[in-house]
Amino acid sequence: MKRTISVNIKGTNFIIEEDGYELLQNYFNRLEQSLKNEDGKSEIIEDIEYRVAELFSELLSDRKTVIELSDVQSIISTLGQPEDFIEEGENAFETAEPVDNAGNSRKFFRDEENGRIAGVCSGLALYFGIDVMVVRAIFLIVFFLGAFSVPVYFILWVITPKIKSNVDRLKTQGKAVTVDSLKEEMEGAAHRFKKHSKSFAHRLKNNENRNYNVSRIIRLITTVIGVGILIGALSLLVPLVTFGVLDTPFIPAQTDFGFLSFSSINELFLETDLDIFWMKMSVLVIGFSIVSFLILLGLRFLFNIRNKGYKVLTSSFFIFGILGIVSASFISMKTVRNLANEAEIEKKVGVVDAPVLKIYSNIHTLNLDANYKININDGNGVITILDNKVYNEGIKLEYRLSKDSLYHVYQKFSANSYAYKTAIVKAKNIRHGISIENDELHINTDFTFPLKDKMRDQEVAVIIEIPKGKRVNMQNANITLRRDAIDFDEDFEYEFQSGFLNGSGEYKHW
Amino acid sequence: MLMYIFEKNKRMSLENTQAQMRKGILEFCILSIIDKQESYPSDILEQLKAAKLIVVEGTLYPLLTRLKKLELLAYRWEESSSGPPRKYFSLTPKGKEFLNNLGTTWEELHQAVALITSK
Repeated sequence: MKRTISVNIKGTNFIIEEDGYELLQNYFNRLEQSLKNEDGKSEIIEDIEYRVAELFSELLSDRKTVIELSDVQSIISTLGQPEDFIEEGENAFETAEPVDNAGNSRKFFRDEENGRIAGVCSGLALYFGIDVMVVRAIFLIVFFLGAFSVPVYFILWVITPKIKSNVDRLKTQGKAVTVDSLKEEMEGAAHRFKKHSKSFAHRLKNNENRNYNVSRIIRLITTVIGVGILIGALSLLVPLVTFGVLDTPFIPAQTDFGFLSFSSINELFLETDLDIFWMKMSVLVIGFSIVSFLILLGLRFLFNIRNKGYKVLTSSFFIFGILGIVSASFISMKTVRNLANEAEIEKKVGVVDAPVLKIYSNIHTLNLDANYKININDGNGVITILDNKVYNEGIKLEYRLSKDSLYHVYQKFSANSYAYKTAIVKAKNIRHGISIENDELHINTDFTFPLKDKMRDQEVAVIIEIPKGKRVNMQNANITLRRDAIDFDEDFEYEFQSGFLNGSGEYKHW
Repeated sequence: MLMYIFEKNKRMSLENTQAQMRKGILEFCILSIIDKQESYPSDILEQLKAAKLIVVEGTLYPLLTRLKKLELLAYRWEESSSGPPRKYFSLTPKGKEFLNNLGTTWEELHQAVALITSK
């Protein structure tokens, strides 16, 4: 006499003897334990439950209504023990690997069949019995550390023979060349082939390039591209670290320290400290994203990487890069907005009563040396930053008609900002040296403004009002106001004229 | 890393080799059975057992799940008059292509092994 239990398996009710039920329960527990690393664990268990229900159904009839312990036992033996049919991961799939056989000396051969370039790494991997990826990774690291492995690779290429037969392959692995080991190697080869055909991408490759040589050439090309991309990524990394992280000055300028760094350029243009911080961060993020992306891409070419982590990593670097670009563009736009409004202010310098006004230029007051004419950067000027002041070069000259018989001289300062009010303040902060001595007008070719005002298109113009019929003498050239033949109105018959005095004191009339 | 190298250095026993060989062929056979006719697990088991390819039924289920994960197989449910509902498996277009390739590979291997062992 035995107790029974009513059990529902996948929608069907069965009456099972209590000890039979316990055995079944125990079976599924072990099944779950064995499957814990498997992907479709719950689905596999469910499928087996269906199978159990089906087998139970087949056993039952009008005469037999209870599942007995012995029935459960026989069904379990039909299904098999979980430990017997479930492998632990993919490791069980790997082929047999080399074993040291005393008395069988190892010999090193190149393994062209599994190689990327000439099979040196594959040969080494076989020889040492480690994964070829490990050997390639070591080669790459050494390659980038000192490019030392490249000559070593070529030397090994030249001096070692390649595997021509399976006997050689066994020798490389240090195995005894016996019938058994050859057979084992053949099984290994069969398995390698199968492993290849398992991967979809590989299968496509095999289809298209059944020709051994073609697939070898493709492997060689992908290797070269991969290494190329890696070298490119690392050569990008060098300037990124030097200029972005270490903040090495590299933009030619005259400063207390000779050159401007990326940060100091930001300080010159960007309005607030927060902007400067964000800009720097954005550029670093963009730079490192590109480098990381390229490194990943290069590795993809070298090794057949296809896992979720790789995709996640690649796309996150891509997204980081985009975010960096968006953030940098935002700050740039914010900065451009700071150039939106231009303010001009005029300041009277003085009046000259003379037949001719003579203009002289004071060249480069910073480097003024009475004995030399200094020409820096072909007169186009360089940005000079000293004592928190920005020195800029080039003065515009504007000529217009005087309303009386005197020469009138004005300075016009202009600057840009997001508001007229602040633009006016910035224009007022500009300092420019100009003086009148009798009939001479001395104009400095440079001007300064405070560093805190930032580069906001600050400009200086000198306005000279010329009386009717008189002229200005500029570097031995005479400037007169031309008559405008088209305009018949007396008040406006003289054309507005202008010129530009560059940093080296050269004058160009427009 | 060391563990990995250690693992790979383990010598494979004869039993293990046989299991490996059988396992590789098993996928090919399962796909071929399903290719001939839409089948549910018990159908497949019956044919595999008749061919003495599997010893225990449990082997089939993880394989079916894996092939389905690889999108080589698809299934539909069908009610059964004598028991629980059944999963009927069929090959996807990808599965058909995969099978064709395995067929070619099998031919090549078969010839290779025949050539080597006949010497």
